[in-house]
Amino acid sequence: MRTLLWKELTEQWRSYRLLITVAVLTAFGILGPVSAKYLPVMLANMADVPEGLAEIMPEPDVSMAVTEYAGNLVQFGVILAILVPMAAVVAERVSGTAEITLSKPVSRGAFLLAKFLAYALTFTVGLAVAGLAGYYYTGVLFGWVPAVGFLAANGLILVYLLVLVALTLLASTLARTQLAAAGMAVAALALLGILGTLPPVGKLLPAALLGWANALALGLPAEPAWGALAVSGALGGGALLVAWLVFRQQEI
Amino acid sequence: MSAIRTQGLRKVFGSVVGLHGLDLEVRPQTVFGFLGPNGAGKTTTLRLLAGLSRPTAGRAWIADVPVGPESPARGQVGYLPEEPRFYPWMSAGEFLAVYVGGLFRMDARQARQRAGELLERVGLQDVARRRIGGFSRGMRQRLGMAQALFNGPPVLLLDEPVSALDPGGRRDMLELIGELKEERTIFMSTHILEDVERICDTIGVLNHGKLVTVEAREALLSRYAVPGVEVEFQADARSVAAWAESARREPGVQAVEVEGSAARLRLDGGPQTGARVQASVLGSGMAVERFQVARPTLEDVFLHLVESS
Repeated sequence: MRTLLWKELTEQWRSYRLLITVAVLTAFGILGPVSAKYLPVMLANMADVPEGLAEIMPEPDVSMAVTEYAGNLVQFGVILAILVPMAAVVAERVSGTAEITLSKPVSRGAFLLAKFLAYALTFTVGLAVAGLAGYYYTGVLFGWVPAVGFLAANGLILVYLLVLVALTLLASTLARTQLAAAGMAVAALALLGILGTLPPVGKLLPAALLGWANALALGLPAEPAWGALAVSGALGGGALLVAWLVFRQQEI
Repeated sequence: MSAIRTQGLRKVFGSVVGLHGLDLEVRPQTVFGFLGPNGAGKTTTLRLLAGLSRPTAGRAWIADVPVGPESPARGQVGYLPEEPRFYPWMSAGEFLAVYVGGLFRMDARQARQRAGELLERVGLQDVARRRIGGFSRGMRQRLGMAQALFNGPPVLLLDEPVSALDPGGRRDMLELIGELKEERTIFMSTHILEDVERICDTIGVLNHGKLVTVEAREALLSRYAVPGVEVEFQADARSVAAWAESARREPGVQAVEVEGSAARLRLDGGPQTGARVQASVLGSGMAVERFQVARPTLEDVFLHLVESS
């Protein structure tokens, strides 16, 4: 397991996936508070802006900065959570690299788990750096938000993204091409989105974590979405379990 | 104890039967040549034995341990796929010492030492630090052999081990396989019959997923030996062809094939036939370069078995 994890992490590093994930999340994490602060100013200074638009723009505040920050991380995090792991299993199976590894005394479960742990670490590092940068820019531009709440909010965003990583890993196990894996992951995301519109179900789905995260980051009172957290854990764990059950039956 | 044993091993891919109940036993310290035309089921058998595929029915054992995707039998096997693929971003040394050594939970210092030895043995010591992504197919095949040997497995499963090598590389690899047979069982599939004839002591022929024969090489060649002689004259092709016409009429001569100044005669095996042919050769008036009892090649036997099965 240690060697498989070493291989996955080294691959993330040498293929620049770790760097790209950190860079994209950090850039858009910073862009949240910066755009909240300067967008109204930019609009006011633009020549061809319809009259009155600048006036009706709300005054930027810390709440807007945090909402922008979280929105950016989720939006680009979702894209990365599909693009980065979509090739994880299918590419190894199709190219034949899995053949040499799995002809050694290595369990297929460890092969999959090492991949998930490496992606989890990549997203954890990405969100940690983005969180530090976003926290700093929000504090400097708008005033400091509670650090513990901001940290907890980032933790919830990480859980949300890891559910998608697990679903993409499952898709990569099931699919015959990387593109098909990405398509399946997008379909799963869309299905979760559709289910989320049903009020009683929506409160229990991973997306409900994002509202909770927003409130925590701002230090506002919010109803904890423990149900959504439990469902997220079950969904992520379930996706990995199904991926393992499928993978152990597959021809390599 | 058998090194490899299969019992009713069957593999079906959709509507295609890749392997029809293979029953096979390979003794330890054997170099087993597994022959068959394309699509005969050789790679399917090797992949089943390597634990990369599950049989539809039947069972297989390596050193009496049942094989399968999660089986400990994989620790007894070194597997070289036909076209081994590696992580292109790793160097050859790193792949062997860190990755393969780590998969076998070998101590880091010991793994580095083993990697160095094997890279030298397969002739890759000078490119140990180069990224595998830049390797030729032949270099990947050599590295594949090194990884198969890493844990010193008692059984080696080699799928076309010399198919990508140049003549020098092929000679080196065959020499290596020859050296290894003293200490291991080698089960190799190949299309190159000359190599099988050179290094394998037992031969199995597979056709359409069915085992046609398994026999010691010499026994197989003698069983299919057809009585005959080969003659080569120091003469022009026209004179040899004229002599061949007369030889064809000799009692007991069943067929004559002429190729340039050489002729191959198939005889009925009767007691006087050989002597009559010798007399005919001597009476031809042509100088004789070579006169020998014909020995069937493995290619003759292989084609005969495959075509008649």
